[in-house]
Amino acid sequence: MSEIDFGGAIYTDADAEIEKLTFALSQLFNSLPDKWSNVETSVGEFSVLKNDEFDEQMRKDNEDGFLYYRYLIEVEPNKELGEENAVAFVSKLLEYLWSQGYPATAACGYEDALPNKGKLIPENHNWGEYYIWK
Amino acid sequence: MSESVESLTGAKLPSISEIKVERPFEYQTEKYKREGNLGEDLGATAIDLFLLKRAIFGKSPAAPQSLKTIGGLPKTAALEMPQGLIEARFAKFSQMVRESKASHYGTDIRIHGSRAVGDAKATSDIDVAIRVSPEKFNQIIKQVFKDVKPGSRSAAEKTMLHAIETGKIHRRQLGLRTLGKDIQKEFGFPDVDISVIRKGGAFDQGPWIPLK
Repeated sequence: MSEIDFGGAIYTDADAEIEKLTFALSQLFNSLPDKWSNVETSVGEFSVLKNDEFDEQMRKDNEDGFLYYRYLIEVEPNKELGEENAVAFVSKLLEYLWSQGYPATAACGYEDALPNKGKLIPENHNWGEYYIWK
Repeated sequence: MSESVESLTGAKLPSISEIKVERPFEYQTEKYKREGNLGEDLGATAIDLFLLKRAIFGKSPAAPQSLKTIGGLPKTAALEMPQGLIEARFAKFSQMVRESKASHYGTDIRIHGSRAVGDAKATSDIDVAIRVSPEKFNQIIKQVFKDVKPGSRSAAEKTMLHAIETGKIHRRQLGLRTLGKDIQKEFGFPDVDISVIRKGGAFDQGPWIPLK
């Protein structure tokens, strides 16, 4: 338990199927997902999971709503490469999600080092209808 | 913002809306038509196969025993085996979990959710609960969130407070992501939810199937 842990989670309310989302994120690292939405890269691993606490209304809360976003991305940056790599790894995922217009928040031990402190809900974000692939 | 992402990767990245992937059910259907065998590697159950064959061939093959059994059970009753596992495989599943770091948190480990009740689909995850006393739960909270600064209002702190409020600690926080992946590869479940659950908390609800 004393070892350094750069692991964390990114909560995102992506309006996309899990397969598409995982594939797009894997392409950021020139990698491909396995059939269970796990991605392994030289700088770290991540898994995209459906958030079993997803809540259509509660996700809209500005403070704690991220806990109820549709997806949870478990991130495990390569420990050998240190905190700088961990920050770059999580930042890359966050920036892509934000560039697609998706709210995304990182929960980890280095949030202050992330762009926008790891949290962004795009301005005038349209939370949309309840997705058909519930 | 997309420019900065592209500069990170050195290549133009597709928008998610441009990406096309095979939907799992279509993939499984085509695979079945092509190869005549389906599902074992994807964690499909006898019920899933039965329903899929009926959808493809437009007729009813003999219903599996488990389907007939489930039809007569009240929703609140647990199956004897998790849906999608035969006895020998459940023994192997139990062994994998008990020999992992999960057992460091507690020994009262049970399956719950749809695979315990019997209404799971091929795409359903398997839910594993490590039930612990409130005192033990608090100990684990202190252990796994030891780096969280109280009062920081960080997302990490909010996940900790949420875990305390709901009585559930997620597998990532427990360092059990690797176990989840290993179970996926061995048994083919789409997702493996492993949590520490506080006895008497909101998630402490059966029906349960204890591990072997």
